[in-house]
Amino acid sequence: MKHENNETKKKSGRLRALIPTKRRLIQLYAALLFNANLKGFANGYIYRGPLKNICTPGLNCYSCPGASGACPLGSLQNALAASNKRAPYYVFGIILLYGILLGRWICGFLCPFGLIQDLLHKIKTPKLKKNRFTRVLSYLKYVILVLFVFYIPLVYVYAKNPATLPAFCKYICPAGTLEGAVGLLSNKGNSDLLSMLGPLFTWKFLLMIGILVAAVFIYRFFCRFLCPLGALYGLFNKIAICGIKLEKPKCTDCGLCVSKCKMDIREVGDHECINCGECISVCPTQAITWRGSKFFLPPNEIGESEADREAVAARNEKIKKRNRIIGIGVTAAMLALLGGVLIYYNFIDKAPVVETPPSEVETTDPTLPTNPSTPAPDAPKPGNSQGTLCYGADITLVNADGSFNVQNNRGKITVLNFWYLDCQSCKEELPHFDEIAKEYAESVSVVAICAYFDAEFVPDFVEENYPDYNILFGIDLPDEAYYSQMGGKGTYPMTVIVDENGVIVEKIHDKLSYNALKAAIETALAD
Amino acid sequence: MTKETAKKIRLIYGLVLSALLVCTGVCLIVACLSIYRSGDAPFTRESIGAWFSKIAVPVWLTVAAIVGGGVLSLVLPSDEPRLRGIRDGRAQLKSLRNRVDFAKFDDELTAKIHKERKYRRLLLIVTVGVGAVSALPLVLHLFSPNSFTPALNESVIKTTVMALPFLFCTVIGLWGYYFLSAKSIERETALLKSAMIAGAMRKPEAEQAKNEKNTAHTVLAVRLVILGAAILLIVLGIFNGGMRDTLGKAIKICTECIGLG
Repeated sequence: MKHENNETKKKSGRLRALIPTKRRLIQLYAALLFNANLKGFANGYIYRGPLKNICTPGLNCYSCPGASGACPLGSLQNALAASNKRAPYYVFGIILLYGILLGRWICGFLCPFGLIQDLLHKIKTPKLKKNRFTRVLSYLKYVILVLFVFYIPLVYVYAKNPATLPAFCKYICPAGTLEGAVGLLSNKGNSDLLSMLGPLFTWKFLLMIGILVAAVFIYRFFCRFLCPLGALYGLFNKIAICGIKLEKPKCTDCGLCVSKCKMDIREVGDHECINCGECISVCPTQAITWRGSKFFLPPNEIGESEADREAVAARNEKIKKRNRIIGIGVTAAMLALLGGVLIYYNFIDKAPVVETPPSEVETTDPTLPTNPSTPAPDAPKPGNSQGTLCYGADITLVNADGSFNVQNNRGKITVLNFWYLDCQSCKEELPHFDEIAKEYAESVSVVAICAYFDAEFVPDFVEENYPDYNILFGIDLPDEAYYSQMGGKGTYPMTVIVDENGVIVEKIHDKLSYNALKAAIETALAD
Repeated sequence: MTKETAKKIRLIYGLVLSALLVCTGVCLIVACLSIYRSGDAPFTRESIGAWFSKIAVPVWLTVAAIVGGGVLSLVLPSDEPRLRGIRDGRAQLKSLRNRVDFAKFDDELTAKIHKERKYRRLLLIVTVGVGAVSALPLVLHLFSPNSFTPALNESVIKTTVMALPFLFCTVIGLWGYYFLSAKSIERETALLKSAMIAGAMRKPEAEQAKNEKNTAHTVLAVRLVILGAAILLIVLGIFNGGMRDTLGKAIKICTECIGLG
């Protein structure tokens, strides 16, 4: 009978193991909250609205179609890369705030990539246990932090040949490859981006596979050895407001907490601790608690007389009731927040895609429609891909009077180049466009259309940097409407070559060399 | 089913699944490399689809094995390993030091303890020395004006290669330091314990409590300062355009981050 009871208990224990823990639920909640733009997975666009100026606490690539906020690590590197223009106060402030409030509790509860590794580690294979060597290896992430996150971006800012290089994101980050690349490129609508894949993607894909497979065998492989964000937050772990606390007077140095923990901790709450709380249950003296948990625990009283004992029981019951109410309130608030965020991103905010109708254009060619929405027979249809009649829009010019519309430029080849101010690749190729414009002045018009986001800075920038250029500089429509209408998904630069009849002959989502651009122009002229 | 049988089944299953996982990882890597080497603009939906259909079998086998593992864990008796405490020598030594009153030790014991500490200090100096020497080529490279050229990939690869000797030497050095200093810590811990058994007085409880209270006040002060600094920096960042920069970068696809170049 006793044996049967034990077996029943074990079976129900195994079934209970299937129910997600509170920590797992919070991790799933956070992953959904930070990737609330679910429609991005369906339509292949990243969210481009104003809420992306808020950094999420964990590692979550902002090029993921679902990302609702900015990645703190990517933002840090870009802020450092722009530190010659302005001091990176904002991102430093955000990281300090997250660090002092939450420390590495973020790693244990809020990081989506940490969740992925936790789930992979659940796969039932033999596991590599931590040891002195892994403890030493855990310092590698600090080297990566100093070298790839701080030094390389900074050195390129102040180098003889400045460049914007978020080195960690570009060469190492697996979250970008998994969430950004795989997330974006798996959408059929982004097939034209596949042509941009090359050696960099191959390297990053290999690295991502290596890290994910390693995460199955080694607990939180990336977090322990490679993650510079964890390294940064770890510096705050001992003083963060949230997290695990070890009450030294109660601690007997039995070492069970260190044994239970799969991270390379030396003691609970040190810089390697991700504050997951798994050690709390194994401590025999209950020396490990959550910071601030005293508020929720009844005081350790017994009461000498019957009346005292009744009073203590009543107080404890009151505290339990209070805790229940707080728990329900917090859960309701969290669910309301998630619901509100999901509704906002997926139904209310229209930022990612602006569907403006094709503009009406005048034309002297009777075979081409005056209004592209009512095409004549055999005429190319309006669109934004090769062979279609290019959508027209009145682009305000900054280095000439008036505006420019591609459909009013028939009779000449038009090169539309979409760029933005902080885009290093865009600025590297602009001189090539200028050379082409000089060389083919009679037959080619080149218009460099800057993102509307940078509208107020473009005129001064162009006057200062490109005063004698032979190309026209313009500003996109509000919300980058023309760029979106031309099929732009958020990658810059984008170049569209339109022939004399206003038909698109080529669209390129990559930086162009002079030779490649010239070849494309020659092809358009030959046709 | 006995626990031994369950353990054997778990081991065999674990090894098979490990092999499948590694095989799947290798297949994915080979597929990606093959596509990359197949010519100009090699990544197309067709080429990716063709390659992934070739490696579909190991992938689906792995998925099936993972699901099977989930079912197995429900059927087999559970096997929770018994926890054995891992005492960190340093933490234990620190804890002991906080409890003993060194003024009550005799000269011989004090000399032995000092000897151990000197030994560990020497080990640390040697380790730091090894790290510093191995870091020299890297430091020279980092501060050389010609190291960071417009050829970004080559520069970063070269920097990583220059960092490898430093990393290798530091890892070996630190591992050796931890290994050797652990022995020294064990000896010092044994000395302190024997002193406590022999009657070395504990520090007064009140003094320990006072130290903890001072630490708590310091931590609170540091928290408030950092919190204030964080809020101030965020506000400054909003006004100086830093928040705008963050938004500007986040609303565009970071082609470098996702491997598009």
